[in-house]
Amino acid sequence: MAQQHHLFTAAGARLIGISVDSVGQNAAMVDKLGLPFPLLSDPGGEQAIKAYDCWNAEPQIAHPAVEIVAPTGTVAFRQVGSDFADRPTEDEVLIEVQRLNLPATTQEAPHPGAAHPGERAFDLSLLPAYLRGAKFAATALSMRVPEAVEQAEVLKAEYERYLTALQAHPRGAGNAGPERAT
Amino acid sequence: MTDAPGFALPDQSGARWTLADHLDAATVLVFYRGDW
Repeated sequence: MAQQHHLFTAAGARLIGISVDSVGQNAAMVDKLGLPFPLLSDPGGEQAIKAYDCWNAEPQIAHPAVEIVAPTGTVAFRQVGSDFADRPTEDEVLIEVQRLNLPATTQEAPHPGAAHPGERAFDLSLLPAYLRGAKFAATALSMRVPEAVEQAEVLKAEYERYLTALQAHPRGAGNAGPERAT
Repeated sequence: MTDAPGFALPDQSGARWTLADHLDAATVLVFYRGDW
């Protein structure tokens, strides 16, 4: 969503991310990815994740989900996915926002915080290799499982988009030396 | 349409972010698993 952030504000919506991650982990993520919107921390899911019916009780995290809150204070759109690949595309969400016919808005850049990345934080320079691997796995899987071809195509397109976005990212693939998140 | 539950949570700088303060526009809530 970061790539098309300006289209969302032009359509009258701000973006926020919500997860169980700590404030320090979120600060590291905003800094590392240069996100144009804030990340909110809801560790036990009590404040927002459960209230919006996105709680995944087994690993105690949020289901991947997108919900649009209209200025009227109602939920205008919601889609809760079962895994990270199962979420609406940026374009689909943007269309849902545009249907609300709102005047343009603005969103100030998130304030930086003190970064405390989690132990498993991914080095950004490793991401292209990871994404290429994931794309390869999707291709291989779709060759063996005919029923999965359609989903594999969606995933491959998504990975391709991430790779393109990384190329454009100031600290993405090949643009800077390895970036340590610690 | 369902009412959107209000909430207040700390952002990445520790500042309090409330939905009630942001109802002058639409808000896209992106829930994600985190802790990869």
